[in-house]
Amino acid sequence: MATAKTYDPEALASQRRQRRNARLLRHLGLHALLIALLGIMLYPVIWMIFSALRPEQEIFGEMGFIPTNWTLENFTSGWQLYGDLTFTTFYVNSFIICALAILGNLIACSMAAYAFARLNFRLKWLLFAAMLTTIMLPIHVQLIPQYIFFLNIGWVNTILPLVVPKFLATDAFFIFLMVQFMRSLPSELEQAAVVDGASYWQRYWRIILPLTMPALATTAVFTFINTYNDFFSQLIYLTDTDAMTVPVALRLFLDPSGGQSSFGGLFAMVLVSIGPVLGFFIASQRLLTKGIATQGFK
Amino acid sequence: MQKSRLFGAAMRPAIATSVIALTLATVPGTTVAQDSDLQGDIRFSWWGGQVRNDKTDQIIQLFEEQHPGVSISRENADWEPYWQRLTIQTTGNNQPCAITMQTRWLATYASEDILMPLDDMVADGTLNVEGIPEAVLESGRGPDGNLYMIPHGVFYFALMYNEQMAEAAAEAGVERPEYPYNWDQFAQYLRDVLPTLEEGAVASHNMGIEPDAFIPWVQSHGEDVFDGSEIAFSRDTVIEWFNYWEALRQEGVTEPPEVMIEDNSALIEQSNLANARGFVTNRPPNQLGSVQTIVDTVSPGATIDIMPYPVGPDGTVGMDLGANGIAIGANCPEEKWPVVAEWINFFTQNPEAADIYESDNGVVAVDSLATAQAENPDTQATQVRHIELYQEVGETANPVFWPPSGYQALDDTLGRAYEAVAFGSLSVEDAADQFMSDLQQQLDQAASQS
Repeated sequence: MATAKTYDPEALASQRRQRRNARLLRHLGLHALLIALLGIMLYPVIWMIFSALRPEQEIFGEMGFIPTNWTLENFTSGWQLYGDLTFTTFYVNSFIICALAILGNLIACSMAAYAFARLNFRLKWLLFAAMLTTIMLPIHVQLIPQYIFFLNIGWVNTILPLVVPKFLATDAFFIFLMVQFMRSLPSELEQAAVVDGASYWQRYWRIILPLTMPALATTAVFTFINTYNDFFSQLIYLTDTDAMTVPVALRLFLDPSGGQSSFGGLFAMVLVSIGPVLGFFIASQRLLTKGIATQGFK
Repeated sequence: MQKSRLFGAAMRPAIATSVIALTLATVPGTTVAQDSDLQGDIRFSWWGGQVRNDKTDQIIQLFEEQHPGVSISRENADWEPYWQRLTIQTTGNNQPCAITMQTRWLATYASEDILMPLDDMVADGTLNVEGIPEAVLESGRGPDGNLYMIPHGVFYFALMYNEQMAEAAAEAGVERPEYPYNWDQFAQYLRDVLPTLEEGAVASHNMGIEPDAFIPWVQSHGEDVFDGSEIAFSRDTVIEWFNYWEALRQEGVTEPPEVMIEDNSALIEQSNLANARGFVTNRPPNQLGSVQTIVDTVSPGATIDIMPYPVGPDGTVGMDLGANGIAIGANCPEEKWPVVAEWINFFTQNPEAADIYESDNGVVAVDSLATAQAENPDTQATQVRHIELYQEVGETANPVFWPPSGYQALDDTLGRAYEAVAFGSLSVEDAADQFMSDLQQQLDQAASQS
């Protein structure tokens, strides 16, 4: 009988094997496809890594993907940009600006956000709207008036134009982000604090700020990435070579006007400069997850 | 002591400057003793890659050693950001005292509230221009006739070709035309060379889109490119230009349009010339050294050389020439003028500085320094060739007078118009009309903004 055959354990086992093989094959195919796609996406990065590790004249001359001659020379020659200038100076400059910008944004934006999210004052919605419109203002419109303003107060060629505005809550995007986040926090927590006689400051500092950790982490990560990658304002405000930062210095390897470019040094230094962004992102990703986990009580 | 009482303190730096300038100009190779009279700090800006930055830094150090009271702050950037930053600085009247400038960009900045007119300083000898050819010095003048820039490096335009291919063609019986050859002889030479090349190679890059090749065409036909902010060449000249390259393209002498648009904008490494797929192209001769270095790795054994652009039907030379130089910011305070002037004199005239710079940004403008460099056995062979050709044909050059944004506008509109012809979407006549009206529109716009 046909049904008897269905219960044949051997046939069942072989069917299961077949299904498993088919599934394995499907998974293998899928993974192979994904790995191939990943390879295509990472190809330029891998090419850059190998280029940084081969002698300069072989970067475009050699056809092979993997270098035949390995060298670390590009790293040493690239690090020493010219004269006494090294990337040590540029990294120190970049990190100082980034650290101050993060500090400024975290303090000032969270305070502004707290006011917009939790306090009641006159013209609050108008001010909120005004703040949001600053996001829509293109940077090119502000560029020259800002430059002239900072020039007149003697701040050009110092890091002040790059960090002081951060302490005045000028990044409307982060304020908006935190406002939205704070609004989602249960108001009972704050009311309980009011019952205990907590002042505005105490409510902000002890209740709201610790709970806003995920938004703070996002702000810190994005401020770091934005500031670290910011080329143009650092170019125009920090004119002296000693005050230069990493993104500005990276542009000094190439000469599109017909002079000699040093691609070896460029690739090596680009590779090194990716490090901090990647490291900061990985480190703060944990913070992000932790922040989200504390949200679980809701 | 008595002397310093005779001349006021304010005069002293100026006198020192002139004396040093004179010494430098008359005694080549002299190292100036430390000059403690010169005091002050200035900002100097330039563009360039790592090699040029290194050389410039060495020259500044040398200058500072010789003038212990002087300090120069270095402001450098890559080509494009350099001009963006300078534009923003000028809006705030915060441009550096010494600004590296180029003839093609000069008109945009050449006004008395941005750059300082230098004629008086040249007349009284504060700025030393000895040995700089008249045509080169003239290229530092703005539309208002004032001198705004002291040139230190001259760039010119020529054709770059593969020497082995020329030799192989000569062996096959194709004689090289002797300069001055005209445009028709040049086209015939390309046609004759084509069959001697390997399968798949082209005799020439299609220069229909290239402003650097179009300028010598216009000028060798007896016309000017611009008159102030107006187009000065005729519609017929444009039509003939398009027809010239269309004929060569259709005969297979040049590459197809899809290769044309990227051949010169791509990296040298990927160009037809470097990969022995093309015989002639139009790269600036100052790139000869870097092109040869790359060719040595990409197509080992090939030698790249340069030749002048063809002349017009009646023998008129149409070669353009430009210069990089140093200008002084109009905002530079008077007490810093002696330092800036001394720095400019040092950069343009000092033999040691010229030795360090090695004509990195154009052939060194002072003739005797250029000759010395060409004769120096340590100078790279490609650099020697670069200087030699300049000395052979530089005198006959006719520098284009650029209106504000003129080069960008020409580059943009000529490319667009000829591409439309090569891809078959516009007739030669329509493309010429479109090119001329678009170009004039862009020039008008730039003129109204400046």
